[in-house]
Amino acid sequence: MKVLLGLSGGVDSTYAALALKDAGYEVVAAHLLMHGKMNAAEARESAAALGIPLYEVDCRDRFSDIVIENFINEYTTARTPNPCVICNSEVKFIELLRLADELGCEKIATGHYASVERIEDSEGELYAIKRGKDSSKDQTYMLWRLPESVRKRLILPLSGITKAEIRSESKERGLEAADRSDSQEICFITEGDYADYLEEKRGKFPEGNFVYEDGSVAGRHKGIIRYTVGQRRGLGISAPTRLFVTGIDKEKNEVVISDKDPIFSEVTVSGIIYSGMREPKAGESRELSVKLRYAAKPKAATVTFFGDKATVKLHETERAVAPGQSCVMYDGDLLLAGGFIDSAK
Amino acid sequence: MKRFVYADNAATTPVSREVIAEMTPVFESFWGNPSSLHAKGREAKAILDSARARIAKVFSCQPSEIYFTSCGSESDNWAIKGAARRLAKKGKTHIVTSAIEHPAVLNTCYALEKEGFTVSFIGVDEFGTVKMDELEAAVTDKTAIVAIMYANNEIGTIQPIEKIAEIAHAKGALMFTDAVQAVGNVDIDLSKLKVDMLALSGHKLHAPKGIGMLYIRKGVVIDNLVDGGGQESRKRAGTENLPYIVGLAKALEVAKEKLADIPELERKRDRLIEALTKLPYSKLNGHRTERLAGNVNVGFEFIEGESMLLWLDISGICCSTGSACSSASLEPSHVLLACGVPHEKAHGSVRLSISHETTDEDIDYIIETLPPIVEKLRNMIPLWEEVVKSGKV
Repeated sequence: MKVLLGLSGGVDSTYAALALKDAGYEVVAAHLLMHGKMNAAEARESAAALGIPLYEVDCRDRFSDIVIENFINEYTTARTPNPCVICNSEVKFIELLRLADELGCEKIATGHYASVERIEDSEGELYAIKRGKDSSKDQTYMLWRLPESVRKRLILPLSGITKAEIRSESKERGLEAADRSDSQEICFITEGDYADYLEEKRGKFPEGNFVYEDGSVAGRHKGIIRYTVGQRRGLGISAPTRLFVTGIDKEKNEVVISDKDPIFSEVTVSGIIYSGMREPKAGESRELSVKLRYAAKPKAATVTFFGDKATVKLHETERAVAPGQSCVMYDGDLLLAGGFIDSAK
Repeated sequence: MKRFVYADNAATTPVSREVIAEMTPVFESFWGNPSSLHAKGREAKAILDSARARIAKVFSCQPSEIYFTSCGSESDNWAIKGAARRLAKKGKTHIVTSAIEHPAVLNTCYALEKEGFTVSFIGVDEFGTVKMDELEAAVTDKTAIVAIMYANNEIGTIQPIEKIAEIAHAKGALMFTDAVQAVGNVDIDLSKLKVDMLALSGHKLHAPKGIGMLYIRKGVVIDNLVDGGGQESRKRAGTENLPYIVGLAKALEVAKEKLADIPELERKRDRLIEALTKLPYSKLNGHRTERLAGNVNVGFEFIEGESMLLWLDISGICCSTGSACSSASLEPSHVLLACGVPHEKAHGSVRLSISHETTDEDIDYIIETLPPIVEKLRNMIPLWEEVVKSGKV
């Protein structure tokens, strides 16, 4: 069977190619050029070492129009985006699928740490994303928004292996990629921080006031894009106690701070995609675990669904819940659904 | 509109209908072993003799000078190893070849180096023509064999084989030419061309894969490569592949007839060369005139040839990069490097090898399809952006 693999040339995707070949697939690879900071040199090297053809695809316009546009819009409306979620669901996997069709590949694959599970139920079948063996590298959080057309043709060859195993086996098999560093979360920002990047794109954001929750002014902030809910470093206010960002008021251009770590127990979510479950009846509740940041631990919650929206009641409080981030819902290791956080209290 | 255009005839060609028609009765009826004494064997032997005679007529040589092998590589191996090992007994332990030979010749020479032979690899000029002064200096009375290809498989450059043979013979060395790419493109008359051995392969001229030939001039004695039964005058063992031998005879006859159409093929080739070398930062590899009629090899700067091949493939065009090797390396073509093409430019080369079957519509399609792919790939290269910004396009 012919499979098209997304190949960056890093250790994960290179190992994925090897695993697919070992499993008897006919592997062809695509290197998707997303922005000018990328180049195909490592992918070419990996593809040549493995003897697989490499298609280089220019996705820069699409990436810029969709992912970077969303990234800027979210920050400028005081939300904290997940660019990888948008890229995966609207650029990366879609381009892979398109090229796969053109090349007559039945399957597509990537080097993500996750797995795909086919579930049969009374209504037919579901293709669900599930955590892989290496839970410390779990990347399911970034995959919740993949459409079914992608999930049903997706192979994730790293589902049953850990990063440490990959590094040691890649070294053993003489892959140059064995020592390459991991990819960064915001791949298109390589110099400075995201705020510098946004200001470069959209001009300087006006300074404004830091205010306490009672409305009293605590100092001046450097533009709302530089702050996110839960942040406690780099506020530049001298105070006897630690201070935290608890909210951002875009209308007033104010950043709300408090000496108490903001904790949240109720979250509203929209834009839900059901992947590992059928859409429940409006008002139906489920006991699930939810992840509210990429690096957060899953928390038990009661989720009440209303079509593409839901309310999430956390059984224990969570700190730093930022609108714009993804809320991904699991039953054990199985990813059932996901959406974007609208508000939290 | 998407078309299918096969422009990789230097890699292999489709078996023609007339060749299939000629081979079919041999498969169906004349399946005897030519070495058998009975009727079925005699029938096969007669067909074998007739095929050999037909081929001898094509080349104006004697039937007894023609030996059938399994492929071009076997012919190359046999000619060089057989001559070197035979002549080593007379103290001739030196081999002269070129830097741009096919791997079947180069690797044979490397193998002989391990046996104690010394090998001179003669360089080529920027057009891929063997440097005659270097060759002349290299050939000595210790030289057993001079092995120079008639025409190069990647860049299509045709060598001055007559002159090279003269140089070899002046020092008493045997002259061997790998003519795998040349046969069918140039008229080879072995009553005039003073080579001692010549190799060819069936599948480059619309016969099937798995049939090759070595011409060995009468009086030239070389060691065997394949020992066994008494076939091919006890020179090359193995039951003769009669259907393919008949196919080869037919293919060679047709190829000879079609030599008249070579100017037409050259016209189509030149259309392609002209259109493709008009693109910025592109250059023809090989010689402009001393060139195989179907060979186009163009280097595009800032591009990975492999990438271009894959996108042309998606558009229905089959071609190859300079190096037809699928080896797991990013090493550029040894031929282009020998011509002095720098590494980065050698990487961006594409070979289109057309045939008599290629139509003007096919050429139009390539001319329409290839430039946008070049542009698309270049636009992904930061270096190209700088070139565009600096207004050097």
